[in-house]
Formats: sequence, structure tokens, C-alpha cells
Amino acid sequence: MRLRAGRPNRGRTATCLLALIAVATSAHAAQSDLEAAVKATFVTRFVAFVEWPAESFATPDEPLAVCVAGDDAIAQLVESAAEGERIGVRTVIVRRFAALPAEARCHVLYAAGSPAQSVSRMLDSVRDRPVLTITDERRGRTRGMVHFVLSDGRVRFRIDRNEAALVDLAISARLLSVALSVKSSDAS
Amino acid sequence: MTAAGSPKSWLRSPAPVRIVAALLLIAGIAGVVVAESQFREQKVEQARALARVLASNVSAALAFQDESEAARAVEAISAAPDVGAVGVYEASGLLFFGREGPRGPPPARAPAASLALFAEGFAIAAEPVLQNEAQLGTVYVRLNPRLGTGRLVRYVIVGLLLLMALLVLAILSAARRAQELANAELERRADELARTNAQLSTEMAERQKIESALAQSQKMEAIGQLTGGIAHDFNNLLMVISSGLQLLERRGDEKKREGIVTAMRQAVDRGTSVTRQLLAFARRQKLSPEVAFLQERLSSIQPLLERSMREDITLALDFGDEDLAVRIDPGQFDLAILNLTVNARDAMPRGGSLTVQVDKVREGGKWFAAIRMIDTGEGMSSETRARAFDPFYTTKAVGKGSGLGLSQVYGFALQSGGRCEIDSTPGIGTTVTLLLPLAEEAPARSPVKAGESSVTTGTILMVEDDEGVGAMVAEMLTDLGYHVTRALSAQQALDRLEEGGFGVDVVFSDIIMPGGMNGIDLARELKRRRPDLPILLTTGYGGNEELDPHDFPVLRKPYDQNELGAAVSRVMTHRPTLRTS
Repeated sequence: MRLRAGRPNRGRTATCLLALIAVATSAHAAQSDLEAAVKATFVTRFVAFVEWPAESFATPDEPLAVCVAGDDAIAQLVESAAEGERIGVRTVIVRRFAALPAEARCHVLYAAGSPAQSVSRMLDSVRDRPVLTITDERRGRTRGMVHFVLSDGRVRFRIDRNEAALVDLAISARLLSVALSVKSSDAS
Repeated sequence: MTAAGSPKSWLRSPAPVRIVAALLLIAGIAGVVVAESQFREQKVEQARALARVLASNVSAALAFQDESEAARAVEAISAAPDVGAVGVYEASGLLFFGREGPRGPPPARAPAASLALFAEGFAIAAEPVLQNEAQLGTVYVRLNPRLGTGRLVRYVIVGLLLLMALLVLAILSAARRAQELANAELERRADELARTNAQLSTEMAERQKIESALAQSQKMEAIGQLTGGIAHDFNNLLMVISSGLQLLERRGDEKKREGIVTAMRQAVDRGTSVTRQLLAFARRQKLSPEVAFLQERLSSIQPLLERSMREDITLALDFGDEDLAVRIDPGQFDLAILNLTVNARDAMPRGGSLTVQVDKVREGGKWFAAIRMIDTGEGMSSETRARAFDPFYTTKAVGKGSGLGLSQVYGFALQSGGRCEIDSTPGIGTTVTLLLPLAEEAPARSPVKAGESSVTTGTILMVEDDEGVGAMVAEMLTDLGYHVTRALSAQQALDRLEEGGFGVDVVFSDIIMPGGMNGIDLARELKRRRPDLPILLTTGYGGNEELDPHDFPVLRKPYDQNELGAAVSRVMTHRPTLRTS
């Protein structure tokens, strides 16, 4: 088995790979730009493995909104990663917030947390709505449905399937297969 | 015909066999091609299915760069048979994860997103990795189909079936060829056999000719050896006749004249007997048997037998009650009886009696006529008796006998289907028994008993080129009471008949005559012109019948007046319509 590197076709992939290499060589270092880039890429990719209830979209071609709250740098990375990304007919748009307003319309929320609004407060503002919540262990212990961790120098994530199920979000088993851990009511 | 085992024999096999063989070959190849094509399609389909499975399983691993998950997914499909190189490519086309197959790694760059084909022995499939309609990358699966046992067995079975079919055809063809060859061989042998047979027939005919020539030359040699004795015999006979004639001229005494005439007649009889035997012997004579009554036959030759006796011997004929019919050649029968009579006479130099006894005996379920010639002569020693039938064996002095008499009797008896036996006691006498089988059919009995010359009138046209013989015979016939008119050749005889020959009652002709037309020719011509005219032929030669077979009665020279009279009377009484004048 081997992994081959080549000339990247898209900047996103290149960044992702560079990030991986960087992460591999500087384990447990402070979050680097590359680590952030990997996470940003992952955020845009989760949307392909999740199904939202139909009522969460006003029209069949309503863009899928990825909200990034509390970290502009990350938000920028996510924007660039989501550029041109499509899920079927839907385009993927990125909305950035310093603090998440209660009426914010999101399908995915990357809650980075900020002095103005903690991660848990951010999560509270979308509670009971079909929003895939993403948190990062570097930003505190509060966990969303998807929780980024660093394992063996690689960016991995844990999944809380129960939380997702509560708001009628269906997470693909394929996504579960690459998760570091899965919290599930029907799993031991 | 070609020789067996010709290298071209297969090409020369019959057209149907060749066509069937070709069809079988084509069908076999087509079957293999179709099977192979189906197999390839199946393998490509299998590769595509595996690629689809992999594509759906590897999407998350590809999306989240999870190499170990990708490895698991790849490993999962690698459990399928024949899986070779496998590649998982990112959307950029770069290889994310690859598995090297037994025949090389997957391509470095992603192939076309959707691909399914069979190339260079590989079944290749590529499928896009889609997640919610987003293409995350591409997977590539290559199958290295080995010539699996099943596939191999299938091909071997097809090959074997084909081979067997071809073998059966070859055997059929060979069998047919073999049959053709066998037929040809049979034909050849039949031809050979026919040739051999023809050759054999030719050889047999040749051999028969040679054997017959040999036998004839042996006879001639024997006759040559006899010539001395016969000449001596004839000199004595001529001596008797010439001296007798001289004595007759001088003596007037009736009683002495009679003695002299008797001696002369005996001499002539003896000469007759000798020449007849010689002729019979020299001739290639065949028996021409006819049914005859013994009593009639013996009665007719009784005068001849009596004259061959001397006065001191008495001859008695005892015919018994029944007149027995036998199938014999009359001439040979007469000769046999004459031979036995002469032998008996010579065995009784001091007189005695000869009894001819005829009766019927049954032997081996068949009836025979037994003619016994019983004399009271010297008898024979057992040695003599044992050799009595051998040709040229004689106990008589030189000039007295040829040794052919009993030999003729023996031959005649055998040829007539009977046999001859000798019973003899020295000093008491000899009995010779001639056994002849009885005829089954009844003979055509002559209307007139032989020996009675009832017809002694009529005109005889005598054809004889020898003036002396003609004069003598004419005298004898005139003496018998016939009117004789003479012709010197066959042509003259025909002319005579044309002139007004309806007064002729019998034609009596010599056989050997000058003028291109012999007596037999004349007889045939006469039979054509006047079928009712009786014809009697005469000759001193023995071979005419053999050279020119005919069925006219022949009187053999020399003959005396009695024999002549009997022969003429016989032809006149046997003719189809009796002319009375």
C-alpha cells in the first residue's frame, strides 16, 4: 500500500495533502494553518454524507448553507474549500458569523466559539433544528454532532449519531466508517 | 485404385465426410469463440460490479483521506476471484490508494471515469466515486482471468469431442476405403482365378491331347512289334489258301474238296479275326451302345461261330427261357464272343465241346445277364489266368495269337458296365463268364428275326471303285438272289439314280473312294434326296467313324457271303417304308 502525491488539480486538495504532511511531522503542535485547512475541507465534505429532512429547505434548489461562527480565518478556509462545491442541484454557500443570531439559517454549523459567544451557546441557538453541528476539541470540550480531534497526528472526528437523530439528520454509514468513534443508541 | 496408406487418402475421402468434418471443425471453433466471448463479457461485468462496490465503499475514505479505510474497502473486493491491480483515485486523478496485482500496479493516473472492457487478457473496469451526486474520485479494478480449471475443462471437452468426431469420421472413411480396397482385391483375385482356370483348362486339354497321342503311339508301337507275328500268321493263311486252290484245281474228289475248302475258310476266318482285332485296337474306338436281345444277337452270329470251329468241336447254345435285353455295342459284342470262341477252339486241340450258356444273375441289387463260354479244353494255370486279360499276353505260339483277344473282351465288359471272369481247371476246361447289366428299357425288336434272310430279292446299287472287289461282291449278291447294278464313284451312283433309279432298293457303297465324294457324303446326299432308300456302307479302314461320325450301318471288310446277306437283309427290313417289288 502506498500513497502517491502528485500535482494537485485543485488548491483544496493540495492544501489538504500539505496539511496532512505537516500535521504528520508536527504532532501536537498548535493548530497550524494546514490543520485548519484540512478541517475546513472536511467541513465541506460532510454535507455529502448527511441527509436533511425535506422541510429544512424552502425550495428544491435552495443552496446548502454552511455557517462558520466565531473564527474568520476558518471561515475563509471553508469558503475557499466550498467554492464550486455542489450537492446535486444545490450549491454550497458559506455564511460567517462572529456570534450566531437565533434566526440564522444554517444547514451546517461550524461552532468555533468566541469570547462573544461560547461554543455551547452557539449550539444552543440551533438546538432542535436540523443543523449538523461541528465542534473542535481545540475549542473546548463541548461536542457537536461531529467533533474534530487529532489522532496519531491526523485530523479525525468523532460522531454523535444520537444528537443527529434527534433532529432527523441521517448520517451515512460510510461516514461513520471513517469516524474515530461513533456515539449511537443502537451501538454499544 | 490407390494403394493403402497413401498420404492423400484423407483428401480422397468421400465429399460428405469432408463436409461433415469441416462443419464439425467450424462448429467446434465457433463454440470455443462464443464461450470465450461470453467468458470475457462475464469477466468484464464482474470487474464492473466489483468497481461499483468499491466505488460506493471507498467514498468516505476518499473524502476524508482515510487510507486504512480505503485499504479495507480494496481488500474486501480483492477476495473476489481473479482480482488483480486495484486503484482508488482522487477527483484530481491522482492515485490515492493502489493495490498491485500479480501482473503490475494500477495506472498512475485515473482512467476515464466510466470504463468496462477486455484488453490484453485483462477485464478492466473504472467507476466514478459518487456521494450525493458529487464525484469524489474514481476507482479502477483489473481482473486477471486465469485459464481456470472449469474453463480449461470446458475447452478440453470441446476439443476431445471434436477429436472424437473427427476420429469417427476418419474411421468411417478408412473403413470405406478398406472396403473398396478389399473389393478391388477380390476382383483382382477373381480375375486371377479366371485366368488360372483358363490356363488350367488349356493345360488339361493339352495334356489330354498328349496323353491320347501317347496312347496311340504306344498302340502303334505294339502293332509294330506284332507285325512280325501277324505277317507270319498271314503267310500261313495265304499258304493254306494258295495250296488249297492248287489242290482244288487238281482234285475232283468231292469229299476231299470239301476238306480243303473248310481248311481254306478257317484260314480266311482267322485272317478276318486278326484284322478285326487289329483294327479295333488301332482305332480310337468309342462304344455306341444300343439295347439288344442276347438270344437274337447270338443267333445272328451263330453261323460265324460255327465256321470258326473245327469239325472235332461241337458248339451248343443254351439260351434259357428268357430272352434277355442288354445295352451293348453289337459289333464289340460280336467280336468279344468271336474272340472267346477262337480261344476255346485253340484250347481244345484234340477236340471237345463249347457251350454258350445265357442266364440271369442278381448281384449287388442289380440284374445281370451272364454269358458263359464253357469249353472242355486244357484249362489254364493260375498264373496264366491271372495275366489272361493283359494285352499282348498270349500262351499261343508265334503267329497263332496276338494276345489281344481276351484284352478286348475285358475292355468291352468294363465299358458296358459289367465284368469278365475266368474259372479254369487245368486238364478239365475253362469257363469264361461275361456279366452284362440288363437294360432297363425294352429294345425295339426287329420285325424279322436275325439269321433269317427273309428279304433276298431286290435291286442293289453297288458303289465300288475297285474292279476286282466289285466283281466278286456282285457275284456274291447275285448268288444271294439280288439284282446288282454297279457304279464306280459316288457321282456315278447319283447319276444312275437320277436316270431312273427308282428301281433301286438298296445302295451298298464303299466309304473310301476317289472323286472328292466318299461313301458317307453319298449316303448323306441320298438321305436328303431319298429318305426311304436303305443304305449300307462298307470299309476296310478303322478310323472313318472317328474322323466323320455318322449313323449309317457299316459292314466291315473282309466279310463273307453270309455276313453280306445278313447285313443287306437287315438294312432292307429296317428301312422306314418297305418297298416290295
